[in-house]
Amino acid sequence: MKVSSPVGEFPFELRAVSVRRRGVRLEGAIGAWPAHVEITLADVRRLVACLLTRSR
Amino acid sequence: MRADPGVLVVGAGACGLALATELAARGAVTVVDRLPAVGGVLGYEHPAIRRLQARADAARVSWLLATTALRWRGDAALVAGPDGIRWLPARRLVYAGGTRPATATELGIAGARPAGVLAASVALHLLEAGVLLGRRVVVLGGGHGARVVGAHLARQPCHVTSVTAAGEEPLESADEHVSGWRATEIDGRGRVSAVTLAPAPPSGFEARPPQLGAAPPAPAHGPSLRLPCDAVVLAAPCRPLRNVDGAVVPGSAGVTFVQPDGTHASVDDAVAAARAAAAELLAPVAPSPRPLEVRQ
Repeated sequence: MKVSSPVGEFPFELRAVSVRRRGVRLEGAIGAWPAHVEITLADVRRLVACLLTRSR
Repeated sequence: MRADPGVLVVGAGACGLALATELAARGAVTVVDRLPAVGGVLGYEHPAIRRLQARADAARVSWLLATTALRWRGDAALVAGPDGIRWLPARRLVYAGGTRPATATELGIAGARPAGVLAASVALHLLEAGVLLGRRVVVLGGGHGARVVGAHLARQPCHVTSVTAAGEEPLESADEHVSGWRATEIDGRGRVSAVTLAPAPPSGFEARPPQLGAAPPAPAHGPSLRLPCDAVVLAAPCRPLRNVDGAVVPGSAGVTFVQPDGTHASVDDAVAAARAAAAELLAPVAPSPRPLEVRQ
């Protein structure tokens, strides 16, 4: 995975995934920065909505 | 007998990576960069960066990424990173921090600093993200930064005016050219509304930033030109970036600067400058070519 930012693009290296009550948590690192991504049910709804909009 | 604390290279761009690899042949080398990945402006995926990083790894260069060098005291650098702040001993600091955009003050531009006045690097990031900078954009300066920004602006629904001093290369993609003039003032409340121009001095002139405590400059007399606009891109040649306290001016104890002199440097230029600087550091009497500014 890759993350874009005003100071350039950096790799997101996935190291662990955990399922939580509110959603899924991706643990990893953006280069040397420890980082995580939380995906909730609301995010999944938005993602599906975006995909459906794009496919029309 | 104390162990050699090694050399600290600040900057993990092409120049820093090449320097670190060369210097690692004679002792421990640590590369510090505030960003979390190597590559600098080229990015970590650039093929040249991948090659240079592989060579540095093979030469056993140590990495301190996501770490900012704050201060140099001659025998150690104060660094701040994910593990905290600490002094890192080093016998020399080699600064390969690249360049930064020239500021409006350095270019001798007076007036307010309203929204819509952007350094070329910031303008480029916004343009790459598809942001419309404005309907009437003025690009101040020629050279590499202006050309890159100009190529993106040419694809936007806007009118572009290129302002260049005598001897500067005009922006070919612009709708309008004003050559032989330079900006003296920026107007606008909230957002930029106009740029005032004056005839540019002869080639070789460089505006001096105001000195602290000095009298304000006398008001300009003579011809002037006012360009209405809603965005201004500062695209003058870049300045060497110097942001480590104690390693700012030439002659700083234990510091070597290896940076472009303001002109655009290719990867090959950067690597050649790094090798030349490393050769000087490893064998001070050895002469070497200087494609980039190398100051010790």
